[in-house]
Order: sequence, then structure tokens, then C-alpha cells
Amino acid sequence: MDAFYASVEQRDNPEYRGKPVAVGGSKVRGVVAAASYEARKYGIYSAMPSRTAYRKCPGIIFVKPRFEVYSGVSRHVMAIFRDYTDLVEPLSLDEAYLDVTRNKLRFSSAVLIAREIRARIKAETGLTASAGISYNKFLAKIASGMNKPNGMTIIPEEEAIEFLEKLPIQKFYGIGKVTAEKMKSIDINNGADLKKKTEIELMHLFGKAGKYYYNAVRGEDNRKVSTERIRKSLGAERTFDIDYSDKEALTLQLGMISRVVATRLKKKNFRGRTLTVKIKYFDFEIHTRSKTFKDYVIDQQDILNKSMDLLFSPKLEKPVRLLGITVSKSDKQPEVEDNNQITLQLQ
Amino acid sequence: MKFSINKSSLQSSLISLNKVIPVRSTLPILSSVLFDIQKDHIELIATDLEITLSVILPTETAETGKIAIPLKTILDITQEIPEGDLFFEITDIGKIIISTDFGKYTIMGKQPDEFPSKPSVDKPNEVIIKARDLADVIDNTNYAVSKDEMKPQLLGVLLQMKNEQITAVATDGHRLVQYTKMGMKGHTFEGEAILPSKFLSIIRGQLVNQDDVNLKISENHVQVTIDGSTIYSRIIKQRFPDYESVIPIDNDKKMTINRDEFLQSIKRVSIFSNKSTKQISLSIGDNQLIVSTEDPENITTGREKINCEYDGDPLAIGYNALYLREVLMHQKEDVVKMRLKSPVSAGIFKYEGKKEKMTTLIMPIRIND
Repeated sequence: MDAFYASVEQRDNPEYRGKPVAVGGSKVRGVVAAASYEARKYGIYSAMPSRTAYRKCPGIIFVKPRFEVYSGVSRHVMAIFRDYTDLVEPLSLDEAYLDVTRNKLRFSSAVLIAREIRARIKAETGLTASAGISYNKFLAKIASGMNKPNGMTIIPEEEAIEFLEKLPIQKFYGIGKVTAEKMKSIDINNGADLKKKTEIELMHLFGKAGKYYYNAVRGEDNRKVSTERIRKSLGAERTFDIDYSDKEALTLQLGMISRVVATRLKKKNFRGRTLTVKIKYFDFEIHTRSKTFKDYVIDQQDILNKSMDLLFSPKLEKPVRLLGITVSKSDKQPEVEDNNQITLQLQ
Repeated sequence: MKFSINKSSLQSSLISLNKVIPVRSTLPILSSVLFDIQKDHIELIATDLEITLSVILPTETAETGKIAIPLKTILDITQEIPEGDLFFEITDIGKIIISTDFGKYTIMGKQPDEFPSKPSVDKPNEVIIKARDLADVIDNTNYAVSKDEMKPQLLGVLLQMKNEQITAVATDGHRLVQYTKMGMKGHTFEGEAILPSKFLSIIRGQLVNQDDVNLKISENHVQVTIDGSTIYSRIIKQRFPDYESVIPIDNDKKMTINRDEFLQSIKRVSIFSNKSTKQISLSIGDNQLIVSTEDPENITTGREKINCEYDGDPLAIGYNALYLREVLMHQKEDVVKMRLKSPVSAGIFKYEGKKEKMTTLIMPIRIND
């Protein structure tokens, strides 16, 4: 979906149409969750601090998010997808991979299916969507971003290699700003440059991700479209009204976040042994601290105690504007291992 | 509101109150001490919601009232003053002005109505114990209490009172100690309660120059007054596990050994054990014990041989050195008898004296080879 949250707001509020709209945040605090295309012209993008957005475009309209509306639209769109195939893998509320190799309506062409899906989305929800078509997930994902908004891009197998070689490095899915800069500093500016590096070299430079880059630039991605996304983590975070540096206030916030996490863990029946605390400092620098335990982290008090240990040592460097706690599954060995100690069978 | 307090009595009170203050809490008010100012005395109260400590100090003042003051700041300033009195003035907006011989300091107080009220101990049963006996009960058991908050029933010592005796039990699943004090006249109460470890540690610190202590035990709380300080605690309202069923009765292999030699050997050898597992092995055979350790991770080993009395089949058992040391340190005789059965079952120490008896269990670590 194109500028999903913002487009929904423009659809439901005609006075916002054609104007720069940011969903989420306010003039002084928070971050932009989604920006309309009009706002993007000012260089406003999602996850940008609201204050920066306001500075770039003083006329911007901040809209409070209505998540229940967005998830309603999302359900509708996902239902449309399922009319064509059961192999739908949602990436987020407004994005999904579809495997249409075998489709319910026996369309012979993915292009025809995409065209019809986009037309139905427009007719039934009043919103526009973009599609990317190719022979694997990696390429389809890149293609979907090529002709936004309201566009469609096809990368046929025979053109994929050439396409990838010409692709600027920052356009690769999975290569973010920081990695792209690092690549540019060693003269990797596009796919062709990336291809010159051996797998070993890339793994030395980028660790496990290096292997992924090596395969990606060769158009190789064998991941299946999986309908069941196994939840790997669950968490909650909170941006504060003001930046905090004192322990008391941060503890209080951590207490509230841990309560939310504990409630969600229970509701979703999710269990994990790894606890991660996310810290965003007042200057938007983000740090995470995590630890894997022997037992599942479930109870609120336990979550609080463990996240306090992580949060307060080592000492925080700067005032904090956001804290988050995530519990995740991990194959890692617990760091606090209780080895073979035998326990009394107390009942 | 104005009052003054003597530095040294304030300091010693604040040090006691500081032990109650939670290390971390979601309730900021708990890091403060409530000053309840009366005409001739001040009551200082600290709580972590489980345990509440109240200390009474003499003073003279014209006005009465309450204010909550952050403990750390006031303790720090009290400690930096050599002698004399501290004068407090509390303004209507809750600003506290402290004057000493050196100067004036101000700090903002907190709303006293946010401070949790003291628990009421209704219709308590009274158990009068000699301070020395209560100290023994605590010293012999409190070390084995669990620190695992996921097992709330094990976070305290179970006290079972009947027939002029008290049996105290504590376990963390790796060790278990059952200690009985007999011949205790003065209480007729029969019943049991799990008292939190932190509460017992705090009252242990006060059981110095005291004759009798009156433990008041109600349905949900316990209260004790020592030297003008009253300590309240919530009782752990959980079912304590059936500990008697895990104490084996068929440990037929008996090793008799000098406790100090055994302890010293463990201390030395464990220096070379793995830092996280603290695993050591005991190889017991023909009147001799080999205490050894090996940490392949850091390529360290340790091995010592000591004499013992043992005539059973040879046996090799692994233990966490810290657990074993702690258990041995609490044994009462110079020569101890360790009763064993197999490398995966509990080892037992037993002691029976005239007025006390004790059974201690320690669980092994499975040895891999």
C-alpha cells in the first residue's frame, strides 16, 4: 500500500487531500509513523522525529494514528490476496509476499493477477497499492519499491542479473543507510561492485549478512513464501514526554513497559529466554542491551528486575527519550548456565 | 514545623532504615523515610511494602506533622557531620531546611500521604523467644534460603512452633537445612509461618543486647520490637513444600572427616574450578578423600588428598564448591560425618545436641564422565 496510514487519513478526511500529512507524533514530540507523498516532497519520511519534520515543513498536518482503522483496511486487503492464493506472507499491515505460481483462478500470468489485485484494492478501499513481480522474494521486494506510488514493476528472470548489477547499493533490500555508507567507503557503489567481492571477503566485512549480500546480488534467494510467520519476539516501547536521566523516573517507566510486555506475553502465550532493552537517547542514538537466560522470562517483576540490570549497568551516557523491552526466542546457550546441578524434588 | 535530632542517633537509625529500602522499586516514594513528628518524639518509617521498619527518636517540638524525606541525601549529610544536632525546618510547601554547625542545606520533601501506611498486626499470637535462640535459628537456616523470585514459597524460612520447640527449615532446592531448637519455655503457640529472609536478616542485626524477644504473629503479618525499633513483615502466604519426604533415610555410605581440613582443602582447590559452575569432585575410597577440579575452558586443575574414615565402595561425587563450603561452615562439630548414597542423590549431615538438632542436605552436580 502506498503511504498506507497517511493515505487512509487522506481518504477519510478530504480536507487533508493534496496536503503534507504525517501520522503519529506532534509538533514537539514523537516520531512520524507515516508521511503522505506530499510530505515526502519536503524530505519527510517515517521514523523521522516530529520536530525535524515540522522544521522541514511548518505547514505539515500531524494526525493521531487510528490503528483500528488501519488494521481493518489491512484485513480487507489481505482477504483480497487470499482470493488468488493461500500462500500469502504478510510483512506488515500493508505489505505481503504472494506466491502465485499456482493460483486459484488459474491465471497464467503474475502480471495479470497483480493488475487485478491492484484494481480491486482501489475499487474496494479507495487506496492505491504498488506491486513488484519477480521470481523470488528479494527481487519482488525491490521491484515493489521501484514505481511507487500506484505503480508496478516486473523483473523477469533473464533481466535480473543486469538489473542487480546496475542497482545502486542503497537500493538493495536489507542494506540500510549505515551499511550502504560502509560499502561506499570501500568502493562498492552498485551491484556490479558488490559482485566483485568473494563470499569470504564479504563475510569478513559484514559477518553473517555478508553471505546474504553475496547471494542477493546474484539474484539467489530461495526463501519460501511462508504463510505461518512464527513469532520470534514480543515487546513494547515508550517515548517519554520529556527526556529522563534519573534512575527513579526511568525505573517507573520500565515498570510500566514491563507490565505491558508481561500482559502481551500472556495474551499471545509467547515464551522467550532472551531479554533486550532498547535505549534511545535524547539525540536519537539507539543502543540495545540483551541477555539470554536459563529460564523463560515471563513474570512482570522478573522482566522488570532483569531489564533494570541491563539498563543501569553499564551506566547510561545521556538523557533517555525512549525505552523498550523485548522478549525473544533464541537458540543461544544461556549465559547463566546452571550446568548439571541436581535439584531436590520438592513438592 | 521545626525540630532537632541528635546526629549519632539519627545516623544509626538511618543506617537501619536503609536496609529496608528496596534496591529498586517502581514506587519512587519508597526511597524516602517518613518522618512522623510528635510533641516529644519522631517516628521514622521505611518500607519496601513487604517489610516496614519504624524507629522512634526523642525530640521536642511545638508542632506536629509528617513529611517524607529522601533517605540517601539525609543519610549522606548526617554521615558527613562529626557531632552535634541537626535542625530541621519544614515549610508549608514541603521544603526541608537542614541546619548544622557548618551551614544550611535544602531539599524537597515528598507528600507524606503517598507513603504507605504501617501494617496492622491484628490479634497476634505471641511467641516469646530468647534473643540468643532466635539468633541461632536465623544463623543456622537463613543462608540456605532461595533467591529465586519465581519460587516465592522458598524466599523465607519456615518456622514450625509446638511443644516448647521451634523447627526452622530453609531450602533453595540445592541445599536444605532443618534446624530444631528445643526446651523453649514461654510460648504455647502452635502453628507455622514462612518469614521472609530479608526480615530475618534485619532483625538478626538487632539481636545483640537483648534478653527476650516477643514475636507477634498474625494471619498475614509478623511484628517484633527490639530496642525501640519495630519491624513488621508480611508473612509468605504460600505452601512450603513437603520437605520431610525429600530427606533420604537410606544413605549408608558414611565418610567421617575433620571439618576444618575438609573446608580448607575445598577453598584451595576451588580456586582452580570453573568460575561459573564452581564444580569440584570428591573421590572417596579406602580412608582417603581426593578433592579435585578441572576447568578445561581455562586449562586449570587442582587436586588434594586428605585422610578420612570411609570403608564403603569407592564413590565419586561432584559439588558446587560454594554450596558445600557454606554447608560445612554451618556444621557444629570439629569432626563431621557425611552420609552418602550415590553420585546423584543428596548428601546428609546430621547433628544432635542437648537443646538443638540439625539436618543438612546438599545436592550434587552430575559429573559428565
